[in-house]
Amino acid sequence: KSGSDEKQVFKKFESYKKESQIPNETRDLRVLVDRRNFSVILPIYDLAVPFHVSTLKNVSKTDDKDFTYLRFNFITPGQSFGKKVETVVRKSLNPFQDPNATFVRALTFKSSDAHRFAEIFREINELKKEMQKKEVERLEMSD
Amino acid sequence: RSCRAKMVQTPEQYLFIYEAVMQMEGGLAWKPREQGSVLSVLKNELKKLTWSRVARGYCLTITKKDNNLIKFDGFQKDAFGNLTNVFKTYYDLNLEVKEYSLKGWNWGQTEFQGTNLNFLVSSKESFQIPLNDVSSTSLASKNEVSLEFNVNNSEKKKREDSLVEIRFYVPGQATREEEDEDEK
Repeated sequence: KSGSDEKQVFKKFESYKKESQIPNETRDLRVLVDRRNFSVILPIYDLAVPFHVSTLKNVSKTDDKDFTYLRFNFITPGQSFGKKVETVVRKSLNPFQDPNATFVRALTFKSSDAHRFAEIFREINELKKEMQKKEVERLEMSD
Repeated sequence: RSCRAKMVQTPEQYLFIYEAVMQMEGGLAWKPREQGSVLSVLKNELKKLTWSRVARGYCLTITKKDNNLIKFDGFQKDAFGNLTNVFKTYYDLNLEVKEYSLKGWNWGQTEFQGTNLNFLVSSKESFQIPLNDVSSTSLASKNEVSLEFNVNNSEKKKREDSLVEIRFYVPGQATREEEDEDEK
């Protein structure tokens, strides 16, 4: 495959272009799922920080007596994936070409609202599936 | 050390700070709505004023000459024009706009700034972590660093989601080939 083909396959994803696109609900300082922009917005010390679902490897949920924990695991070098995902990751994630980049590998949040965290967990998994399907289709089209 | 002051996003309070700013040619003052003392910064202590989008609306950050920071968040977007005029007129300072990265990427560079650890995406800050809040750090694996945080369990905080841990993947020298081997 030539360089220009690769370029065509590689699609840069971006959560937001400008501040006005960020939903106002960030003011509650809670984890938010923005389906339309394929992003999760995480409250990190007074900031609302978006992460595109393409950067998410998976999410895990743990419940204990008083709190529910959501752990967001991100795609980084030094991990293994299934074959299909591997192709998508390699082709669509530019950062693997920058060996000096530091990656956020995981972020864990806790909440006393188990119901809401369960809902977020479900929503993110759906969104992730939807995104993966789109990516695989796009790569197949371009092959 | 940074001194923090939070402004709740009610219109009255916004008006209060705005009026306070208008009335104080000698500096800025903020009076909490409930009891508490007035927070003031004299004109000659002001070094820099910045405006940025944060989780709770917009944030005014005052950098004092001794490099302490005072932050007020909860501003509406349209307060920018008024504040810009006031600061220009009374203190001859520009209200500088600071934009955070909105790309949604999880890779970038880390940088220490005072007691904060900043994470930059494409040279723009994406988030910052106050190291004073870190309760423990560990090396989870060869290239993985974990930071755990003290979580404030106050009633007010209970309605919010709290960050309890962050893990960074820090690439080492000459590890890439090994990783590729591992994945095969």
